[in-house]
Amino acid sequence: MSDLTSLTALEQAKLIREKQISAVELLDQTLEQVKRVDGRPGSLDFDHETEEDKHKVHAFIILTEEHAREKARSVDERIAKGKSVGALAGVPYSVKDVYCTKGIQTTAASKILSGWKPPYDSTVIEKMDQADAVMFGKVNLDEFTFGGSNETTAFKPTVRNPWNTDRVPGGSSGGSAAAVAANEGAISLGTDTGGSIREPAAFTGVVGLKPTYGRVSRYGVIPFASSMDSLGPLTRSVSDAALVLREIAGFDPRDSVTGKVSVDNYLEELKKGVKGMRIGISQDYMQITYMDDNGEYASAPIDPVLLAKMEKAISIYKELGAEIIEDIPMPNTKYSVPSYFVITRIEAYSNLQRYDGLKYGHSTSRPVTDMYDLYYKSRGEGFGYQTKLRLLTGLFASQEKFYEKYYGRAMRARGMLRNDFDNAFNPQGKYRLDVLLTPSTPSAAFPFGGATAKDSLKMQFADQFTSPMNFAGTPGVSFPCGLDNEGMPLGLQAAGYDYCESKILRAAYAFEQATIDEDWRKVKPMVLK
Amino acid sequence: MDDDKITKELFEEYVNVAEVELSSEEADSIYAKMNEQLKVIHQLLSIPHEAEYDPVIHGNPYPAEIRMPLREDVWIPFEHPEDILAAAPRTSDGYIVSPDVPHQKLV
Repeated sequence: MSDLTSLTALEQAKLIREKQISAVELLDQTLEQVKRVDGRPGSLDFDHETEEDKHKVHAFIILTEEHAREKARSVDERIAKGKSVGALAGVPYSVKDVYCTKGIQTTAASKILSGWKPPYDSTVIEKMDQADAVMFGKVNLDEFTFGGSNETTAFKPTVRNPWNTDRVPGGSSGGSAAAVAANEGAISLGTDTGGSIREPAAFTGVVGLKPTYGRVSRYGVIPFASSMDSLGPLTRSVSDAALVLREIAGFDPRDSVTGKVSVDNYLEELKKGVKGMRIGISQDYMQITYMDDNGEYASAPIDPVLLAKMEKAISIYKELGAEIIEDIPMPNTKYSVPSYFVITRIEAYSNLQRYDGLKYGHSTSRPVTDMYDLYYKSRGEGFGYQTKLRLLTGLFASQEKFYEKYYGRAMRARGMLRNDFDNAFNPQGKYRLDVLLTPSTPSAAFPFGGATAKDSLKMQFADQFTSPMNFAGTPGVSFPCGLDNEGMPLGLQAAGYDYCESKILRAAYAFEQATIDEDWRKVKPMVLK
Repeated sequence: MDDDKITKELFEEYVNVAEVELSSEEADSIYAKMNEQLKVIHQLLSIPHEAEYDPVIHGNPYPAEIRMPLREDVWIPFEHPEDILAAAPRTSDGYIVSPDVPHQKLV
C-alpha cells in the first residue's frame, strides 16, 4: 500500500484491524520515513552542525526498533488468530524522553542521565502498551523540559521545525511536535508545565492536548515542576488526540494527584458538535502584557495575522451554532509569567536534587575528596547552562527570607489565576463558559537564536497564553488555524474547566471539520515536499 | 529591588549550597543573568500582601469524593533491586558505594 505514514492513528489502526496492512508493514514505513527526514539523532558526541544537518528534523534521540518490531509482530499474530487487540493496535508512536521506559535509556536530554536505563515503565507507557500501540523511539526536548525552543538540549543536533528548518520547533516537547508534523509517527506523547505541549504544537501545525492536572498519571515521568506537570498527546488530528487521551487517562494509585473521575469516551463525544456551546473571548488573551523598564505594566499586540485567524474562528463557531461571549475578564493573566518563573524554579530546584552522580547517570571520572565533591563535580559536568541557571534561581527564590515576598505571592497569584477560570466557567455565574478560545502563542515559530536558551525571559512570553491553565490546573488543546504570511503554522487554543476535555476537543474538532477543505490545509511542511 | 541584588559573595554561596560546579564563563554569565531575571520576579510585587486569595499549592481542588485515600503505611519492596544497583556507577555486595561522607558540625 502507498504512503501509510501520512494517515491518522485512527486510520492506521482501522487498516491493521481489518488486515489490510500489517503492524510490521506500518512500522517499516514509519522507520523509513524517519530515515528520510530525520537525519542523525541527537547525541552527546555532537561535534558540529553540518550543512546537511540544517535541512533535517532531528526529532529523535533513540529509535527502539527491536522493541517496536517485537510488539508489532505480536499485534499481527494476535489479529491473525482472531484475538482481541487494543484500540491503538499496531500504531507506531514516539515519546518525549522524560517518560521512563524499562530497560531503554531515558535521558531528559541531559548529560547527567546519560546511560541510565530505568528499571520500570511509567504508567502511561504501560497504558499505551495495553492499548497495543508500538513505541518505536524517544524524542528530543529542552534539557529537563527547561525551555520553549529545544535549544537547551544536551543532545545535538537540535530539533528543527519541519515547516522551515531555520525555525525552532518550539518546546519543550519540540521533538514530539516535529516528529508528528514530519509524519514520523501519528502520535507522540509530551509533557506540559507551562505550554510545552501546546506551544510546539502551534509552531508545527499539529494538535497538542494538555489535560486537566491529575487526569493523566505522572508516575514514572521525570518531573519539572510537580504541581503543574501534565502529560498528553501530540497528533495530526483532533480525533487522534481524543483517542489517545481515552487510553492514557484515569486514576492511578501511584500518583496521588490523579482524581477518581470517570474517563469519557472522548472520541464519541466529538460528534456532539458545538451547537449551543458558550465560547468565550477575553481581551486579556489578545495581547502580551509585561512590565516595562519603568516598572509599569505595558502591553504589545499579538501578530495581526493571528488576530485575523481568531476572528475567522469566531465567525465559524457562530455559524455552527455556538454562542460567543465577549469580554471575559481574565485580569490575572498578567501574573502568569512572573508566578511561573518563581514556582517552577523552586520546584525544579527541589526535583533536581536527586541527581548526584552516585545512584545513576553521569558520575565524574575526576578524583574526588568526598561525597560532596562528587556531587559538585558530577552535577557541574552533567547539567547544562539553562539547568544550572534554573537551579540557582530556584535556590535564590526559595530562601526563607523571600517566602512572603516571592513564593507566597506567586502561590497567591496561582489562586487569583484559578479564580479567573472559576468565574468564567461557573455554571451558575455570569459567563457560564464551556470553552475559552485564545491564541496558543503570540506569534509563529521564531528563528533559531531569536529567543535563545540564554534569553529565557523573552522565550517565556511565548507561554503567556498557555501557562495560566497550568496554574489553574485546567485543560487546553492547541489546534492548527492557518498559516502566517511566511507560511508558518499558527494555533488556537480551546481551554476548558476541570475534567471537561470532551468540550475543548469538541470545539477543536468542529473547527477542524469546518476547515478541512481549505487551501492552507493542503500546504505541507518543507521536509515533506 | 536593589536590596535583593545578588552579590558575588552570595552567588558563590548559592553555588556551593546547590552543589554544582561552574566554569568561570558560566559563573559570570549566570551571575549576570540571575540579577537580570530579578526584574521578572519583581513583577510579583504588584500583588498586594493583603490580596483576598490564600496561597494555593494546586490550581484545581481535590474534594474528598475524587481524592485518593491515604495508603496504608506498608513497605513494598521493589521486585528487582539488582536493576536499581545496575544503574549505579559504583556498587559492592549489593550496596551503592559512596566516597567518604565528611562529618559536618551543625553551627
